[in-house]
Amino acid sequence: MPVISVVQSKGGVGKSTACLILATELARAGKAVTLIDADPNHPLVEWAKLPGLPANVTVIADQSEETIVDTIEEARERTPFVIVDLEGTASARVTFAAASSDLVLIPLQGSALDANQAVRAIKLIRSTGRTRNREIPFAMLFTRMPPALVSRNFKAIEGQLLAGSIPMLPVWLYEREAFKSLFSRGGTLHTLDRSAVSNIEAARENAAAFVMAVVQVLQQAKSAEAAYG
Amino acid sequence: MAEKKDGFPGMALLDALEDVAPGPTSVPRRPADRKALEAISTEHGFPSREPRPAPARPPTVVTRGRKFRETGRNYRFSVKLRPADAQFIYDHADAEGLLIAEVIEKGLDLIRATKEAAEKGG
Repeated sequence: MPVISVVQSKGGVGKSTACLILATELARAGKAVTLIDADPNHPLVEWAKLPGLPANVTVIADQSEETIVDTIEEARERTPFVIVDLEGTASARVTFAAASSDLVLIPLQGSALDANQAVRAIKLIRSTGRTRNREIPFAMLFTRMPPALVSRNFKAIEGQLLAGSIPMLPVWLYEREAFKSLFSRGGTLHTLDRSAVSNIEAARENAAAFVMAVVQVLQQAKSAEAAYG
Repeated sequence: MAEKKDGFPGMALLDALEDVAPGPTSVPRRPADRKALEAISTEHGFPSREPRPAPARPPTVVTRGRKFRETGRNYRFSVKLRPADAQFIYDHADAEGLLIAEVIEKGLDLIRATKEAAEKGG
């Protein structure tokens, strides 16, 4: 059932990486996943051409804002999980995808540029939800975090999000070589050659915790929806 | 595969997320109102970025230049006049807003009319 869209109109925050980790980890847990690549550069389509594509992951390229809703709905009927990677542009396709989503993840790094764009996305998602008579669940996701230390910029932004009661995923995605290697070598964190990538264990742990956090948020959203009836 | 599945700590949660099988969701969804979504989207600075076809233009009527105002005056007629007669033609053309050719045509019409009247009367 769940459709998860990853939205951020600023580029380079790790949208595709987050999608890929989510999809491959869910696939590893035995779930069939459709990855919808709605980025004109088609990073996920390129990844799927590399060796090691899990059998239960399907990657579909979506072409335009005219097609995104149908692409999502068709995928929803085929696989239990659908993940939508949107382009890093403030476009109507984001709105259409959000309107069809059970969860919107908004990745951001610890920078004001990212935070400003994230806030725009939140406003859009809330308004979009109102037209659909439902709250579209969303959560901020801190990405590309340095594993060693936390910057003051990050602390300031996190503080503002907390003050605004903005939902945040409790797990961050760290800047890991293994995550980048997925796009050059293909496959998953569990098929990557251990000798070729450093500290792959840390990346795997991070990925598992991230996916667990997403699953919990989805579960809460589902309970809330059921409660509203 | 079972071994891998058990490896995922949130397996029970994950299973609970799925509806019984892939397919239409248990919660019926209203079809998206595209117009409303587009309006909200534009309002929030997320406008449509799809290329739009240029607005249709009225079909162009192809005319072959002067064909459009064809006069039939395609014979060059050069003649020497007395200056006063030339001036009379120019003055009349200016006063009546006529072309030189039209002044001559009017003169010709008068001559023809006079001839016709003479023939009838004759």
